[in-house]
Amino acid sequence: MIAAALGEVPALPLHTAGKYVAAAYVVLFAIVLIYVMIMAIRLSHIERELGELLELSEQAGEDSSAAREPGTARAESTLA
Amino acid sequence: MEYSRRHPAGSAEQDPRPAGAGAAHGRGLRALSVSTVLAMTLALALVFFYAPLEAEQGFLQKIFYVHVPLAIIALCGFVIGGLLAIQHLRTRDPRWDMRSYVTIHMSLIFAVGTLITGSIWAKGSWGHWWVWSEPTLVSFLIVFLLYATYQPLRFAIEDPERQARYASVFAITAGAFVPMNFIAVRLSTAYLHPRVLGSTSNLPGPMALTFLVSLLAMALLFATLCRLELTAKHTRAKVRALRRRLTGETGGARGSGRSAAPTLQHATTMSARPSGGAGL
Amino acid sequence: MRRTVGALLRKELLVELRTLESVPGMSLFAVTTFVIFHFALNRNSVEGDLAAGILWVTLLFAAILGINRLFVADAEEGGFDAFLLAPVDRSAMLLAKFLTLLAYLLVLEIVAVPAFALLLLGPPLSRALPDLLGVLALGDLGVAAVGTLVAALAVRTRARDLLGPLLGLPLLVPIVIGGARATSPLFTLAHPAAPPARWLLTLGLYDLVFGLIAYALFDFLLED
Repeated sequence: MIAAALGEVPALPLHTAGKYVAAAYVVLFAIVLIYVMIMAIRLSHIERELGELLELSEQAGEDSSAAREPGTARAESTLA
Repeated sequence: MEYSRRHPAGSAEQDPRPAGAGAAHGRGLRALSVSTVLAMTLALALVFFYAPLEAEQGFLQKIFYVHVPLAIIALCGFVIGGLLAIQHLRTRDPRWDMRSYVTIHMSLIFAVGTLITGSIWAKGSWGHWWVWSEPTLVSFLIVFLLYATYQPLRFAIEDPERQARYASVFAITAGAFVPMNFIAVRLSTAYLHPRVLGSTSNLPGPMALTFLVSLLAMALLFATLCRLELTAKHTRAKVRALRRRLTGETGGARGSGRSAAPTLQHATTMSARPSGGAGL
Repeated sequence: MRRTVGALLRKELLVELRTLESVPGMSLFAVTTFVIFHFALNRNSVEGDLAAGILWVTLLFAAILGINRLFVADAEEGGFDAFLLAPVDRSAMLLAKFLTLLAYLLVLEIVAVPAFALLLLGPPLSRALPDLLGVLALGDLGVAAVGTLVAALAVRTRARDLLGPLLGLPLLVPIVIGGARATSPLFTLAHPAAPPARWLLTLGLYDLVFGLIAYALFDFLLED
């Protein structure tokens, strides 16, 4: 059916026009995909940074609990 | 729940609320992206399986359904960027400036897409990669040249508050320029050559439907990408604020202190609410 | 307000008269450009579209020279701060600079248009002169409005000489379109015609829109 319709149309034959149409849609596809790529890179950066910050906060937690530790040890011994 | 209202040094923020801490920028993303996928799929299906072939240009005319929506959305995006900039100048809230920046940035990308697809269409239709007789393409070239200076302008101003202010002035001027430019260019080509690449008026029913669905899909795509970008920027700002709170310094890639993009200074309060990680 | 504008305008013109920084440069640039066009296009005389184009392009680029220098003295020598301290309406500076730039453009045209008629223009200028003056006036208003805004925007950035033209030239494209299209029938040897009303209206609309925008936005540029 499409072939019949095309037979009547005086414009560029399908194999030439098809390439241009495909190219135009590839541009749209490329825009979206490049964006996906940029987002993926950013996500990995953020994940890495959050990992570092998580370590930092755990360290800070350990330090403060280490400072408190002698106190808690005493408290426990009095409870015994 | 304690709040320590300590603004980071150098912040020119006048808004006392913590800029978006806890705000869920990603919240609308799921709905937006789902509807974008649906609309885009429907649009593509309509373009290739439903819309009739056009008499003059045949299969090549299908580019119309990607080129013209890109153009319309890009132009609207530029104007919206100007409107958002007006809000920024009125409220001085840096979040408006961020929204304006992202919208203009995305519109510029869509404008480049318009130019490329238009050029492809011109090549297929006329044999030349560029035609002066197509007013849409010519207007877009001028608009692109103008907005390409937006980022260098921002980069050339170091003080973040002044950068945002000057960028907003530019965005408003340029946003008003876009329709003006369109009128002038269209007038100048009108009586020289007939429109080469076809117009959007007098479309037969099925084509009109396909066009509208494509336009809707492109608009949703634009909105999704903008929202995605905004969420990414806010996420990075929150991470930076967290880092500042934990270490007292701002590490990371932006150490140089100069950037063309607005950077959000989050107050270092983090409310105890779970941050809007509903996201995707 | 009017007195402030008057005082500022007098200061600008006095400074220009004493230092002669802008206007002689602009005029000389225009005349030199006409000579360059003669050699570049290899023509002894031009008419119609070509003539209109050469005139408007030259005027535009000469105007850019003036625009680049418009706020430089204020930025370098603290004129902004002094102005901001005075209890006057900030738009006064916009109006004064706008009128200054307009004055520069008028003097530029007084030199450039006769030079153009002498060096390059084929058809006699006298027939076209009244209409030409009208079109030039409309164009000047637009160039001055956008030029002042762009100059203020660019002057306190790092690459001010580059950013001014980069921002201004695309914005001024409609003026070039309107001006050249309106002028070209005036320069036709065979049947000089009046400028099409469509282009005069376009120029007028542009002047109005961007005059208002410049007026609305200028304050925001002066804040610090």
